Amino acid sequence: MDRGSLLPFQLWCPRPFGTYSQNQPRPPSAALKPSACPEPGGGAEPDHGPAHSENTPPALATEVPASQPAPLLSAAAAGDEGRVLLDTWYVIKPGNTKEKVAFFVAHQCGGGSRASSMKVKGHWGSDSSKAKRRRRCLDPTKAPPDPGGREGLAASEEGPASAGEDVDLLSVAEMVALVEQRAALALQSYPRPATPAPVVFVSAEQGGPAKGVGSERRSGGGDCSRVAEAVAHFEAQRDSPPTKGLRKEERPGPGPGEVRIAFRISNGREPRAPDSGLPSGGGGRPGCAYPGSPGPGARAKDKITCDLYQLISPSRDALPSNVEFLLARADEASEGDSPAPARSEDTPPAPPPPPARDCGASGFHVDVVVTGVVDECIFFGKDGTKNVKEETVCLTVSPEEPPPPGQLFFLQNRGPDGPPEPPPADSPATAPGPDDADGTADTSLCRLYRHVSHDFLEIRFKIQRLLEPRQYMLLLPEHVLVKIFSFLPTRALAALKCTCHHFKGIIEAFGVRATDSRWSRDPLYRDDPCKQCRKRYEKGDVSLCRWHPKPYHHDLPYGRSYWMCCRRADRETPGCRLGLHDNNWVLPCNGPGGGRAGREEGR
Amino acid sequence: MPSIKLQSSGGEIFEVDVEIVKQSVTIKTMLEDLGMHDEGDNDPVPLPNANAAIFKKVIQWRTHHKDNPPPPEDDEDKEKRTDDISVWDQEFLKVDQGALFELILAADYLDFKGLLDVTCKSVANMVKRKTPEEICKTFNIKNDLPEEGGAQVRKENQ
Repeated sequence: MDRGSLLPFQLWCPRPFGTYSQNQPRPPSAALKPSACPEPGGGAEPDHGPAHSENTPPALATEVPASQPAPLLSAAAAGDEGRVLLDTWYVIKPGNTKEKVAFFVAHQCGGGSRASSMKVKGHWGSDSSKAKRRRRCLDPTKAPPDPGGREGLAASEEGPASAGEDVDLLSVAEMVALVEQRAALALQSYPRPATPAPVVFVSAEQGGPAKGVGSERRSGGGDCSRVAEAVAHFEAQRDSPPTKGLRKEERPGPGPGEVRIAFRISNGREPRAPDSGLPSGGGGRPGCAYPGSPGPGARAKDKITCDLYQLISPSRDALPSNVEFLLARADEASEGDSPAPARSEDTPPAPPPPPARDCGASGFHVDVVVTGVVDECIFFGKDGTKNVKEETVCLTVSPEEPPPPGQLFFLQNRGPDGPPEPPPADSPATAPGPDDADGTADTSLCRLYRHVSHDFLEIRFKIQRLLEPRQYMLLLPEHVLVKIFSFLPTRALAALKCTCHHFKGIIEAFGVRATDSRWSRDPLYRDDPCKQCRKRYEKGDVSLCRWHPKPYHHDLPYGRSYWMCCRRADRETPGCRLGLHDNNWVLPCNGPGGGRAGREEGR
Repeated sequence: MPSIKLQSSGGEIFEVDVEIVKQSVTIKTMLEDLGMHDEGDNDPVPLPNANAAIFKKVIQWRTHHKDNPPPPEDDEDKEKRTDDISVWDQEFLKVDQGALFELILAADYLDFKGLLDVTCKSVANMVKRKTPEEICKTFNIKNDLPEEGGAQVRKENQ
C-alpha cells in the first residue's frame, strides 16, 4: 500500500480533560506517517506534530519530553506511527455531536495497518469556547493555523511530502467514504495478475459495519489470504454436489426463510485454472458452477459480484429445488468492456441451470444474512409486497469507477446495458419479469431486487397449462374406459392398474376381465382358489400366478387323484412361473392319465 | 334420397342422408322425440356435443360404412380381439390423440357403435405391450399411486 497515496489524515486525540500537555508523544519510529493535514505551525517541529501546546495534538515525533507523563493511549498508539489513537476513556469535551461521532468513527477505522487514520481537529482546550472546524486541507501549501504554534504532526515531519496533507473536520458520511476509499486503495495494492480489483467491504473487515440488512461477516477476518482461503473453501463447498446450500460446512446453513446476500470480490490473488478448481482443492470445476461457463480465463477483470439467493421453502431437504440462486448473467462480451459481474451459484438440479457464468472470486466474501420467515420469494424490493418475486441483480463495481463516497455498500445496478437476468428456474417464482429494465434502473439498496408482476405470472401459468398435453384418457367417461379395457389382456390390465388410482378403481369397480383370463365364470368355481397360490378371485383381479395351472386328475371311481403340472405326468415337475391364475378345471384329455377315468368336477 | 340437416355445436349445418345418420341411436331418438319426419323438414337437428370438424369425420366414416351390417351386441363369452380393424379404418384413425378421443366422444354421443368399437380398439392397441411408465408417458397420465401402494400393486400384478 502506498502510503503516499493515502489521504493525509491522522488521528490524534486530546489529552485528558482537554489539554494536550499531558499527552506524551509516541516514541520515535523509523517511518512516520505523514500527517493528513499538518497542524498549524507544524513546521516548527519537523518530525513531530505540535505537542507542546495545551490545545494542540501531541507531538508525533521523536521528541518525547521525559517530563511529560506517558499518554494514556500511548500503549495503543505506540505501534501506530505518527499518530495517537484515541482511547476510549478519554474524556471528550462537549462539542459538536458530529465531531464526536467522527472522532469515534475515526478511531474505529484507525487500524494499525491501514492508513485510515483520521484526524479530528478541534480545540478541546479548557479555554476554548467552541470547537473550531477546519476544512480538510489538501493543498500542501496551505497549512491550517496552529494556535499553539507547535503542530508537530507527521506532516510537518515529513516535510513537503506531508505539507499538502491537512486535517480537517469531516462529516460522518465523508469519513466513512474516506475509509472505504482507503480500503479500496489498500486492496488495490495487493498483487494481482489483472487489473486491480475494487475493494469492497474492506472497511467491513476493518470493523466498519456492513451496509445492508443484518450483515454477517465471514470469519475470514482482516487477513486477505485467510479471506481468500475462506472464499475458496466456500467455492469448494458450493461446487460439491451434495452441498446444495452455501457454506453448509462453514455454518449451519441458511435457516428457514433466510435470504442471503453474498458479495464477492475478486482480487485475482488466487487465479483458478480451468481444471484446477479452487486453490483449496475443493471441486474440480472451473471457476463457475455451470457447465460451459466461461471459466476464469474469461474473466478479464476482477469483479465484485453480488449473489442474492433466497430460500423459498423452509425445508432444507428441498434445498436444491427451493434455493433460488439469483445471478446476473455474465456477459462475456461485456466483461471485457466493463466490469460486469459474473457469478454463478449452485443450481437446482431439476431445472436447467442458468447460463454459464463466471464464478465468483477469491478474496473477500461477506455474507449478509437476513433471517426471517418467508413464504416465497422474499426480496427486499421497493415495496416488499408478497407479489415481489425473483430477483436477479447484477451488481458490479468497476475498479475504474469507485463508488461514490458512502455508497460502497450500495452497489448500483449496471442498468439496461448490464448482464441480463438468468432464465427462470423451476418455478414461476423465479421467472424473470418483464420489468427487468425497470429494476436495472434502480440504484438504491432497497432496489437491488426486481420483482415480477403477478399478472404476468398468472398469464404465463395459464398459457403453460394450455400448452401442456391434455390427459384425454382421464377425460373419457367410465363406460368408455371399461369398453377400452375389455379389449386388453391380463398383463395390459395389470400395467394399467399400476398407472393411476383412476384406472385401478375402474378395473376393480367394474370387474373388468381380461381377454385371456382363466378365472372360471361359473358361480360354482367363484370361490375355488387358485391351484397353486390359493388365491380367490375378486372383481378386477388381474394378478398373475407364479405357477402354471395344473389340471386335476382323478381316477374314478376309486382311482387316485392328483395334480399335474403343465400337463405332465410326473408330479415332481416344477410348474411354470408365468401362468395366470386359474380356477378352471381342465380335462387331461391328452395326459398320461387320459385313459383313466375322468376327473372330478365341481368340487 | 331424403336428407336431414344437422347442426353442430359450432352452428355449422350439415345436410346428410337420413339412412346414414339413422344408425345413430341418438339422432334417431331425437328425430322421433322431436316429431321430425324425414321428408320436408328443414329445421336442423342440433347436436350440441359434436363440433363441426369431428362431425365431418363421423359422417365420413359413416358414409364409408353405410352398407355394413349393424354390429352385434356385446357377448361376454365372445373373444374380444383388437387386430380385426380394417385397413381403411386404420388409415382413417391415423390422427392425433386429441382427434381420436374426440371421435370416441362423438361416437359415444351419437351412439355409433361401430365407430365406438373401432376407436376403442385403436386405443387398446396403444395400451398393449406397454409398461406402466410407458402408458403414463403415452397418455400424459400422472402416476398418483403412492410409492408403497404402487409397489404392492406391481407385486400383485406382475
